[in-house]
Amino acid sequence: MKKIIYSFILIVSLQFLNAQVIYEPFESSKLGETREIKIQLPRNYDPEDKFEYPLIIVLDGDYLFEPMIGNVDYQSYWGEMPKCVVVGINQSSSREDDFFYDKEIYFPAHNGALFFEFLGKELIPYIESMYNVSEFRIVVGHDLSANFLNFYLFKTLPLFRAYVSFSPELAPEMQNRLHERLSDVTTDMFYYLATAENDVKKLHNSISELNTSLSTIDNPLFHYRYDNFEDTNHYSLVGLGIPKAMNQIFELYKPININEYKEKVLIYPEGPYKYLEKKYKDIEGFYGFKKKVVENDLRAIASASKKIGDMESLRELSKLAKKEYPNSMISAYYQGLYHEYNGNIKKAINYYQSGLLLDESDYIEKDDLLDKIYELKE
Amino acid sequence: MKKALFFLYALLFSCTVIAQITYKKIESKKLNTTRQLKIKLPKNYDPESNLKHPVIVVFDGDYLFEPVVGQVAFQTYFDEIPKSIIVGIVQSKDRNYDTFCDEVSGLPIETGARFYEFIAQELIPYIDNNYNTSKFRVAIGHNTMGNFINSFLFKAEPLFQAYINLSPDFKGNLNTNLVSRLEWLKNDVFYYLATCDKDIKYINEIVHETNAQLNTVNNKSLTYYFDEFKGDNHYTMVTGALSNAFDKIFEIYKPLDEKELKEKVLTYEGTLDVYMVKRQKRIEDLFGIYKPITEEEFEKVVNIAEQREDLESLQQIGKLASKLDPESSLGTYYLALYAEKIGKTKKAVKLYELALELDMKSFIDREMILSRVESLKYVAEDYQEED
Repeated sequence: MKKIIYSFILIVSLQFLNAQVIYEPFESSKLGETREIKIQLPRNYDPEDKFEYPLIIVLDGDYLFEPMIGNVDYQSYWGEMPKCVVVGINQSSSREDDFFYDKEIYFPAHNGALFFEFLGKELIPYIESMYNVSEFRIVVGHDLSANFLNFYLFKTLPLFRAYVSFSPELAPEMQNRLHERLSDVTTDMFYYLATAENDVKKLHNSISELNTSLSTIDNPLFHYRYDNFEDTNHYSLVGLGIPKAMNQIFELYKPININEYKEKVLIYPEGPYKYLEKKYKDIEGFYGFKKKVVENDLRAIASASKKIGDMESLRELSKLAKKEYPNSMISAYYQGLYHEYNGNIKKAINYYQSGLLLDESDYIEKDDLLDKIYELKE
Repeated sequence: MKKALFFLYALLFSCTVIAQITYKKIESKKLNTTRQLKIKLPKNYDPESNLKHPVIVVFDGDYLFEPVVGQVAFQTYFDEIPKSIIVGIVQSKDRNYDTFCDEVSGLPIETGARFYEFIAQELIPYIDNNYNTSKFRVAIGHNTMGNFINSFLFKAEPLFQAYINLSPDFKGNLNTNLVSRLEWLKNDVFYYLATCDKDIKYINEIVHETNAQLNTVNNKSLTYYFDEFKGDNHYTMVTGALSNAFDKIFEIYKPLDEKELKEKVLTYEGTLDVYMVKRQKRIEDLFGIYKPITEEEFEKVVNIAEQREDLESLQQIGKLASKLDPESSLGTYYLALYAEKIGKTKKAVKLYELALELDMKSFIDREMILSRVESLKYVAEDYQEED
């Protein structure tokens, strides 16, 4: 099993030609000017597809957008996180104005207030009207923008579900306000905060104070991670922080690994298939978007069902495989597998043979089916 | 040009906006097939310019190219690393053939050897012929491609100067041979090796073993870095490792920072212009690129000179700045400062006035110079009256 789960399988995706970044000027009536927007859609994005992708908004998109899309493309390639629609906003010439907050009450004011509204009332509705995005939204910022993104938390219904704050230059009072607010959030919220040993000293100190304060929050809906990177500065912490943040946010989303297999799948009282069902239901409930059952998980469940001799689980699994992957060898393979283990060799061979004309998958190739057929015919 | 590249035929797939990724097909005689490449040129790349760029070759470009592009774009934005040309090789199903190697030596044989020759004799010459490349090349490999990139080190003059090994699946006794090879290395090589605590177990073990041996290598030509990422697996560790690897490889390219100023500049024996020239020369020797000394860097070094009460350095830096950029007022300004400090008031006034005529740069406050000139003039006049 270990070997199966860890086997290094290369996902063949030759249609990467549409993975280009879309550069768009966005005319904002709130701001009274045009803003440069960068959009990265998932590989093989299909507008006709009903699938809804999480939306990642990247502030300071001038320099934060590229490392973000690089990470999202990579991590989602391996199924470590879902494919996402990523939108960056260029701010190099306006960032001081955009992130302006009142120097007495410490909330966005003037241009800062306009930018706050632009994001929530113009940009996001526009992206929603153009692309298939879910309501699971992540916001990412660095330095000034990492402070600004916190303001979205103070709405009754916060615009974002996950906040990624790299070395924020915190406004006065922010620490107290965040502690108070995050203590009583009523939906699951993710909060990622990072600094570094060689960060700007002033920032480093206030961030580490904020961490001390947030660490004491006792609210099961508040999901928090903090990193203080060694031998890293204000800028180099970003490259290390992005994967940590994504892994934290999408922890529940990940494919079944060897620990989960041993500690949860094998001993689930209602059987491996029911475990799978529950896992995917939980994902949907938690993130608000559906996850397509991945082949890795089908394999894990099949393997567990075989190991504990749960035929019913295997039968359910073959039905699921057929439903999820009707045109792939996957559907034929798991149906064949069920009949093979159920002792119905003739049916098993038929199913395996029926798969020969279907599409190969990441794990199942023509040779695998042929091997099965020869094996059973002997 | 075409004649020189008789064995290659490249087809342009799509080339849209600058800074986008270009997809190309390259026909290989060695492999007797075409291969798909992904190429990312630096922002505002100008083929007519004399500026040279390091080349970063990404194996398993199917999935590894995009995160490299993202990380390089970020670090280039802050000028932490030089503008580089990134080439990804799409390997998909050919991967198993490309990595085919001898069970004992772990070195490429048959289809693996042909892939090696494709890289060394076709791909790199093609890139060098078509783009402004410097002699500094970086190879990036993950898993079995991590094993593969090591084979380039066994040549007398290695094709790559930096190796980023991401959780490499070392084959045979390649890792032990590698260690003895690195003992005798004559050319400068950067070697970065990474694993993680949730890595595939046998890979984690062999990487640790290799790390222990590499730590014993005593060769000045080798710069070696190792990371073990906590809480990451074989896949999730990759992007953080890329960030660290670039950070380390291009460490001396970075703008002068606090640490270097404190540890190296402040304590430097000799005048600080020499330090800066040597630093620049080291960057040129290593990466094959000329990196201008920025005004911020000059300013920082001048501050250190003042801190050391080192007037000689101030004068030499002034001369250096004037020599490197005669159009700028910076050097003249420092020379004026020097003249003022040693009490040559008249000369100082002249130089300040000369600086004002030259191209004024952002951080020198014009008003400040003017008021300085005024006050110096009074001082000069006072002296004259006393005379």
